[in-house]
Amino acid sequence: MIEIEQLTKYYGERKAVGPLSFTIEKGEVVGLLGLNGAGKTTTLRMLSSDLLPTSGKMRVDGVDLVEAPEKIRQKIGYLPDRPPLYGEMTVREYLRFAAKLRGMKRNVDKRVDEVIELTDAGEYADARIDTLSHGYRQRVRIAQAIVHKPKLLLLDEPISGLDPVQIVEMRALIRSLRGEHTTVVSSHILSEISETCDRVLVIRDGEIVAAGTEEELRERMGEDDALPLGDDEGRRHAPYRRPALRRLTLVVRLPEGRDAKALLSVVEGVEGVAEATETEALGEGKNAVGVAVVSGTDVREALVKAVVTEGFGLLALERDSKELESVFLELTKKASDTQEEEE
Amino acid sequence: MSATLLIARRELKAYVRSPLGFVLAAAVLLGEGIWFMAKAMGSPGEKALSAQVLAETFNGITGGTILACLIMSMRLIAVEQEQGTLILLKTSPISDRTVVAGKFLSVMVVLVLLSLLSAYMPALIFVNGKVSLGHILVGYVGTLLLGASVTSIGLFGSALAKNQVIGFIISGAIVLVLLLMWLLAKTSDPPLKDFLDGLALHHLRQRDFMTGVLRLDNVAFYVSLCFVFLLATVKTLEARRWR
Repeated sequence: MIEIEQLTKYYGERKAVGPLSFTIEKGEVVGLLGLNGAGKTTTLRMLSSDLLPTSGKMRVDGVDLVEAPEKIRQKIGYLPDRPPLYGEMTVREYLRFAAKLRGMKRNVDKRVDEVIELTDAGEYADARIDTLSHGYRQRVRIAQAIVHKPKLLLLDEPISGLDPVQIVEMRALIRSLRGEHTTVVSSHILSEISETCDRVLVIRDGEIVAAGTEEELRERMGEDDALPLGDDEGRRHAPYRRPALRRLTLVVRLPEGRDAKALLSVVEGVEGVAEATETEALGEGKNAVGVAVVSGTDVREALVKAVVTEGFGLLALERDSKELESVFLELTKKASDTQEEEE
Repeated sequence: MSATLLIARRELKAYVRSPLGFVLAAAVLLGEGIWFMAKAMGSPGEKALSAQVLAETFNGITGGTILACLIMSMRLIAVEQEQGTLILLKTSPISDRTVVAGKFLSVMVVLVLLSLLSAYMPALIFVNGKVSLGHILVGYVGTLLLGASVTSIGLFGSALAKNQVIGFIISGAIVLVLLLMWLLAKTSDPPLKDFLDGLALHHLRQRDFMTGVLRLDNVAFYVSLCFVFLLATVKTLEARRWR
């Protein structure tokens, strides 16, 4: 759906993006993850044909975006970082305007009603946009991007400024668009990307520094934690790669007569568990255990079975959210920061 | 064409829904009305010919038109830029030409409405004096051509600036320079004098329209001015995509 080759964008002398090369398949939901100023918005602006690149090629659905932008814009829905809303219009009028502007000629009213329902903005469909709360404006922002049924949907920071309830709703909405649209979501918030996207492109200083599924990124970071070994004559072998680990947190209630040590030995006895070292007493007999699991193995079922069979009360089993965050921080850390640390 | 009309219609709705449209129309019509009263009544004991009063009336109407077109056009692109709505137009399957045409058309519609609302003044002279319908129509043609030229300059200023005040200052400065060309012409010798007179936006050219003379070179001047500044506006928008 999207093919990008050696794309660069300079603002004057300053490089904003590039060289950037990646492809996105039809129907994928891809997250563009990076810190503020990494080049996410510029990349999306180029993909939406709002900005032209300094060099490189961009093709959407086989059409060159630089050579024939007007031909492809009808297939693109763009949600920019600043809401492009006309305050004096009602939600319904605005969506009708956006649909017609994007070339929709038939069944405009029907489609507008559908989108209003989909984004749950029906309560305020006939209210002026400048009277809406931030959350409802966000819904209208999304609605304008999908009203013309685009093949490609570009969402720049879609949950920015939303409250927790609205964030959950927005994520559900983005997930519901999967399959119908190819979607690119940009964000600097890791949880947003990991909750909604099939694949992640990590962008730093305008370049893609890592790409893959959440699992692949985690494994890559694990593999990088390598120990170079040498033999007696000083020849170096290929580095020994420590198997990548995933971390889970297990919370259990200790039965009478059983202590944390017993819990640890039960957990460590499960196949696929590399180590179970951290324990934390949470009071009232509750204990939290950090479980390191060899990546690629799913130990949850066996772990739960072992813990319950041994008489421990299972309270929670969850993935350690800090784990992916540390991967993200590592990937987006600037080269200069790394050098400073080494010095 | 339908996208041009769509954009023009949205702009017109924005005028109607904000106080700006009504306040501006009221202020312009009030100013023109006072000017007309003063010119129609004349000085005590002095008899004014109806054709002269009509010419002076159009002089007042053109003043109001220049101001109205500058104020209406200053916001057309700059406000969209400020509010972030321009991106909706720029990422839609329409050309920058269509965007500019739609916005230009909206001001022209308001200008025609303003002209219709001011028509009671020439109508009073027509009923009570001796002027031809052709004189009145030519006067309005001049007013509309002048308004279209100022609007295209206003659009250009609005496209250059990131906020409407700066847009107003840029386009106001261009209009002012073109208005004052005749003063420069006065202090120059031919052929520079003729050249500067030719560039003057109002002085000799509007005098012809006000006195009921429709000349092709005057029409060609205003049409060319519109074309040049509308093209410059389109090119400014296109260039922004490269920035």
